[in-house]
Amino acid sequence: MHPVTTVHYLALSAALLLIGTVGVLTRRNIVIILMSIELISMP
Amino acid sequence: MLTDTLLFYAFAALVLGGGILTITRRSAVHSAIALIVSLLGVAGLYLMQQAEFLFAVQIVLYVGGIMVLFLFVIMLVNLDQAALERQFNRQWLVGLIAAAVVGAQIGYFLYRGKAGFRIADIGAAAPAALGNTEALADKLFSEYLLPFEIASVLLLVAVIGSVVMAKKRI
Repeated sequence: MHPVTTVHYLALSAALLLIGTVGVLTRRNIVIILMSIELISMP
Repeated sequence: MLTDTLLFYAFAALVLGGGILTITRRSAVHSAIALIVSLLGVAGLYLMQQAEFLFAVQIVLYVGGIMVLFLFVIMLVNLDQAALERQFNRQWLVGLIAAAVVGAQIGYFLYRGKAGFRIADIGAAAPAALGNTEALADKLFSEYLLPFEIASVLLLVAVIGSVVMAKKRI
């Protein structure tokens, strides 16, 4: 098993940012859009 | 080393699973709970990086903040009616395509720039004589005292402004 490098963390951050972007662009409920923004701002 | 790798993948699965559940659940309350799971995963990643202060802040501020948001959901949103409505808007296909394009770009640049990242040697880099919470407090209250106070005044203005806006007659 490879040791964890910076690239792993960057890939995780990119995936989280994409999940948040999909949430902002596709959901209708404003509270869930707010939670998606929170997901974007986490990484 | 193996334990670190396994922990990283466990926390990453927690973060990504929580994130995906957050944007796909029908009920807003379920989304909030999934978001809490995701935030706790990020807190675990901070702890793996020996950032204890960030870990504590993540738990207290973010998870606490999400709990407040969760209460707002319960109090303000009509949950039964919102769960019956359509959950995704009409542009969901366009949104997915746009997100996929952004993801492809990020992946491409990460792949091309992979050689630019060096594996940091954690043990040798930082002298661990002073804990990082103490070091942060030392910097914050000596060198960065003025920005700290300005930020606190800004927060005070926000609090007073919200009270003024919320009350009809003062």
